[in-house]
Amino acid sequence: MGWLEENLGGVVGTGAGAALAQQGYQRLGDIGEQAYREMGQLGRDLESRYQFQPYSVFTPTGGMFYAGGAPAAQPGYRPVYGSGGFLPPPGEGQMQIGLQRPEGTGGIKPFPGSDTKGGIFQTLGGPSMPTTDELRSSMVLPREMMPPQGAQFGAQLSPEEMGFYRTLMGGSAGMFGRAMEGPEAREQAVFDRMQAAMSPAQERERLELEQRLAAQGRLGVTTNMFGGTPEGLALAKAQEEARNQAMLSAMEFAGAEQARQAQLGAGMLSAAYTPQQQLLAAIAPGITAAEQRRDQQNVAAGAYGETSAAALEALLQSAMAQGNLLGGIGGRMATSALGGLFG
Amino acid sequence: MAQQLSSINLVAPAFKGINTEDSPIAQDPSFAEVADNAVIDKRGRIASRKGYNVLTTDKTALGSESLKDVHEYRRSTGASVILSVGNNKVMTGTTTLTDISSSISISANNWKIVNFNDKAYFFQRGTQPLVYDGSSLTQLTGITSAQYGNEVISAYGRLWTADTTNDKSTVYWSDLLIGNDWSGGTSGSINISKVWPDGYDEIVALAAHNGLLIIFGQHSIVVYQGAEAPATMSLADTVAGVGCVDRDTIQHTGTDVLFLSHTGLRSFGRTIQEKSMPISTLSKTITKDIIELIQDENSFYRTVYSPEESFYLLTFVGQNTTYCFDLRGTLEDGSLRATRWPNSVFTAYERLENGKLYIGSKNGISEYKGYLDNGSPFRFKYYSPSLTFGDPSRLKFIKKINPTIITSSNTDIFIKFAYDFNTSYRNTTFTVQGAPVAEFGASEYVSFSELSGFTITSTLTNGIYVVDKFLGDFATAPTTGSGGGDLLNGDSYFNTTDEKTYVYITNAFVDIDTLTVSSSKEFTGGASTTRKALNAGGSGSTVVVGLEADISGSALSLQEINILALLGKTI
Repeated sequence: MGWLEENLGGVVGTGAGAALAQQGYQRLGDIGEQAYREMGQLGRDLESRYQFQPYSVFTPTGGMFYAGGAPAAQPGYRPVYGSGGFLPPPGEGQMQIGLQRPEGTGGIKPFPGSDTKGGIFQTLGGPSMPTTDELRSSMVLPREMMPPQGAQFGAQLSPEEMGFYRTLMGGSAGMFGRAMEGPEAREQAVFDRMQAAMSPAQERERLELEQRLAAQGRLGVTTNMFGGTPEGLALAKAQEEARNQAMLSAMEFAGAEQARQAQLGAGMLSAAYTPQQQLLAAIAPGITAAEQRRDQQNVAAGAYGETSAAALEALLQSAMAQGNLLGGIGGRMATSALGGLFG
Repeated sequence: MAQQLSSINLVAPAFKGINTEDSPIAQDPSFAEVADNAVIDKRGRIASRKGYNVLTTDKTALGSESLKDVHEYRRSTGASVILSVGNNKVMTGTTTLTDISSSISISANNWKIVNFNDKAYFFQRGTQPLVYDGSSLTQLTGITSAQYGNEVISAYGRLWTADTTNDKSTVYWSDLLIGNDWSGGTSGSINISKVWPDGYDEIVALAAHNGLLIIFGQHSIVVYQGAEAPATMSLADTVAGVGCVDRDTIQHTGTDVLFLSHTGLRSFGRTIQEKSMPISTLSKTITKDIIELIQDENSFYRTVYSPEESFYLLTFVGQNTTYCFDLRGTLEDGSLRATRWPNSVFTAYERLENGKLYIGSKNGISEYKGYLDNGSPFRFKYYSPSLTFGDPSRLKFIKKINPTIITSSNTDIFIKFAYDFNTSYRNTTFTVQGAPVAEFGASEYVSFSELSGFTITSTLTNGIYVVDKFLGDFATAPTTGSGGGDLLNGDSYFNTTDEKTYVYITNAFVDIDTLTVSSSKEFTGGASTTRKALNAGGSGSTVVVGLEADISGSALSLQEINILALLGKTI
């Protein structure tokens, strides 16, 4: 028993040292798990903080741009299924430019079921539905304005602007259509009109000559030199020259008219996009403001993340120091206790 | 006491020509009821016409046919060729008719021939025209069958033709100066079917006058001005109701154009002035006779204008009747003095450039010359209108008829008279003695070299050569010269003893036949005036006096007829 009595202190010291080392180890493990949890929570917090924030830009003329979801419908507007956008009331010819990035593609496609009623997209999903490339080429939005995958954005003109757009687009299409037609029909039409305008005068001249020749008893004159009378030949020649001139004028006029139509078409086409351009011009400051706000949010989120990470780091360092301290105390106690027993 | 004789003096009887339009009783004695084979002579008297002297001695080519046309083809060299047509042949020459168309088949003789640019062109309806260049006769080329006109004229540097078989309203003209180009150059045509003033007519004849193209229809006339440039010529005038009977009745008188309308002879100038007024007819004194002849004519017409004879002859060939219109003057009503040549056998006329008048007939070519018809005498007739002596209600007893007749040969004269429109004439015959034939040499007036220095001149006065210094007829040589004194060189006389003419040369009379002839000309015989008093008898209220004579080699003129009559009781 003595030994036991004699060595009892060493045994107790050894046990106490081991228990402290165990506690230090356990604390380090807990600190690690806590850091893991906190960092995970920080990541989730940052994810939510960095998430895209929908926003809308309205113009004074009634146009609207939105990103990340359409705003609430205006009175009379109807929602477009799956798009988050709205269409104007039926009959107003409002075109909804609702786009979303298709899955797995970098392109864009119109909202399913959107009805343009004579707009540039005739019947979406139908035989004449434009391809993505056509749409891309028809859209004027810059690529950087494309929303992220799965995100939504849209631009919406006011009914007046849309009417203006439709009118000018229709006129432009008509002008280009006529400009692209073959000139023969138009030349003939212009020539016919010129002939119709000249015909009464020519008929009067012919009748006057006929009357004069009749008065002169020369209606029956036939000559080898002139065919009929010299006056008749002169009149026929003059009329043929006028006819030839009219033909040339008709050709020149038709060509000039086509050029003018093409010019007008181009002008109309350009003007047709004026509302859209103005809309885009108007939303640029809005987008900038939204982006600034988002940047601020991103900065705030980054600061939050860095601060949280630093706090976690400090906590982790403190916990690690505490663990190391307990482990060192426990180790020395155990060493000392063991040395008494066997020493 | 014996009743005084009343006298009717018919001075220059019938010098107004025939008048069958007015009542014989009320007629001017200056008219004639009958004036056959007569003309109005240069002194305004009625006189016998000339006869025709046949030139053709060989008419084998003509056969028994008559000439249908005679034409003088004159060349730029001055030479001329007499062309004639007949018996479906074209012939040249006058004494011998030489057929120049043996290589061409000709089936009709109604040719009209014109000179144009040194060639002669022959046209008749439906037949390819012919052209004669002085050496050969060929068919005209450059013309289509649709242009085979019946009428052709040469005017304003072109040939003009009309009246084709199927087209009676179109006038065609050739290229300038090219008679064989009717489809090129400046050739052309004009259809006047819409110009006729009364809706429809058919072209009969063409004429050119004073820059005008005159288109004669059957019953209307259309006149175009500026025909020098036919492409621009224009209608100048139209006349409705007056047309032309036949293309061959148109004659140019230099100042006017005469043509036969359906109502008589007309002047284009006066027709244009007076339009279709009937007063403008030139044959007003014989209108009904002319119309009757026109209506009965079934052959063709021939006319000629002779400025030398101052007449326009109009022959109705089918009726052997010719009317002679004197163009020296007109009557008060504007008509021409007309006489008639019955039984005329003339079928063609051509007045030559030298003034001769050629006549075509069955005998070939003749010249209007002399006073025999192909060697035979012809009957000259004059009958006055019914004379009333100013009082148709009283009987007249013709006591004396004193005609004054001028002729150059012995001629039997038949004076006839009848009362009260009786056609059984009382007849009185006498013979007028013509003047002796005063000729130098055989039958010519000649110039002699020996007399050329004696200033012996001759003049043609009223158709008679008058030689100065002719002293007259003497049985022996005269002693008094033409100056009333001594005989002078060149004085001449006719010796009735030896019937020779002597001329005084260098102190002696020399037989003129011994002189040297330097030139010779035709010399006409002299003419004598005969005044004869013939007894007459019978009575009546009106009396017609006539005179007939067989013209046999000499002209005969009726100067005057003086009629003495007793005026009896009123009946």
